[in-house]
Amino acid sequence: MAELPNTTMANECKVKLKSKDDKIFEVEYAVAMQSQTLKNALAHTGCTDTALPLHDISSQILAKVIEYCEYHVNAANTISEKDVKTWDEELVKHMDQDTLFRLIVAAKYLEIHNLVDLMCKTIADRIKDKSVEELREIFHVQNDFTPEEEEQVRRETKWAHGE
Amino acid sequence: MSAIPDEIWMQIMDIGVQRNILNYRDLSSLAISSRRLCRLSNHSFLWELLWTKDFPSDSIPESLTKDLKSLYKQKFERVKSTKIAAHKRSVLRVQSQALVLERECKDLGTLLNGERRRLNSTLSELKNIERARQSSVALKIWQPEIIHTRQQDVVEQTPVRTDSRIHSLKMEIAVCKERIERFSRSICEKNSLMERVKSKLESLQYKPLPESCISRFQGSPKKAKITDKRIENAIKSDFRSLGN
Repeated sequence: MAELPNTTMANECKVKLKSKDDKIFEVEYAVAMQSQTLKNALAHTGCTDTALPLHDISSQILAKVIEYCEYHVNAANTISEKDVKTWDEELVKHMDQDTLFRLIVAAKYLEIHNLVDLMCKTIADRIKDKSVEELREIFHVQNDFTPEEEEQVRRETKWAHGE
Repeated sequence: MSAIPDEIWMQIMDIGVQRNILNYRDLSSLAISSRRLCRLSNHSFLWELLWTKDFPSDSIPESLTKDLKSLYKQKFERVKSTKIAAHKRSVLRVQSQALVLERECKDLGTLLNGERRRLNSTLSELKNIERARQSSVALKIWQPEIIHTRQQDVVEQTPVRTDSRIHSLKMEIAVCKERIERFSRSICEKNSLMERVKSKLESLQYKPLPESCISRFQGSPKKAKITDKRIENAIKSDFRSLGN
């Protein structure tokens, strides 16, 4: 059984991650520890030079994930909660829906709970107060109701839209 | 849309509701968007959560149906009709207030006019007496026979002792004036009260009900635990019903 890296090793250990498109990213051990998945993986392998393959995450998304984790590791004891929140909001402010979706999937796979939470809140904010047509457009939702079915659902939810 | 799995949609809705971002209307809009979102947004645990937020003082009734969404809907409609009825009563109350004030103003106006008339007649009586008095003074100075007789007639027409009559007339005039002032003040007050009542009525009628019937008290949000168990169970039951 591989040993868990001790503190000195932890400080020196660099974790390698390989994206779907074969790009290698190197991150500090502490940064990788933000991800429960990576934490578990490294517990088994110990600090290794082999890159951990992340088959479903593109380099673009992985870069964003790493950006988030690196900021949060550094911010942990030095930056105020309010400023961290502002930074988080800036990060996602102009992201298109596609990126948001891919990012939340990646965050979920890597089990980075803060990031999943942030993504959920962000997407929920974009759902809030939207009409049905807007929702379909923003989230690329295919309307697969038949006209009769849609009519029925609308009738059943009329109470919610009455005011 | 196949971009994210059911589990993640459920977590988005769960956190959205917990954090007071998504409400009953948002979930209903999602339900109309597509079959899949309809199924996902109908899950009972979401509506149970909404219930605890929107109707915190009422526990969910015992019911054979486990369909929390329709239970929520029934509750919502009951609350709404209660509020509409209460609003109608408010409007009626204010309307009757306005009517009462109108009547009171009218009555005061009548009284005011009465006093004014009395004042006028008292003033003219006073004027007559003073003219008569002046005439008798003039009598003492001028004594041409013809004028003397004429003036004598005038003086003889006043039955009561002139001085005391003049005094009581002046008293009456003072009282009249005081009453007129009092009535005028009351009318003023009633008029401004009327203005306030009218504008209240207008605002009640223009904006009948608040945006949503639900008043959410934005105190410190309840720290509900994110139990993935609920999402898991919801998804499992979905699979079962899809015959997977």
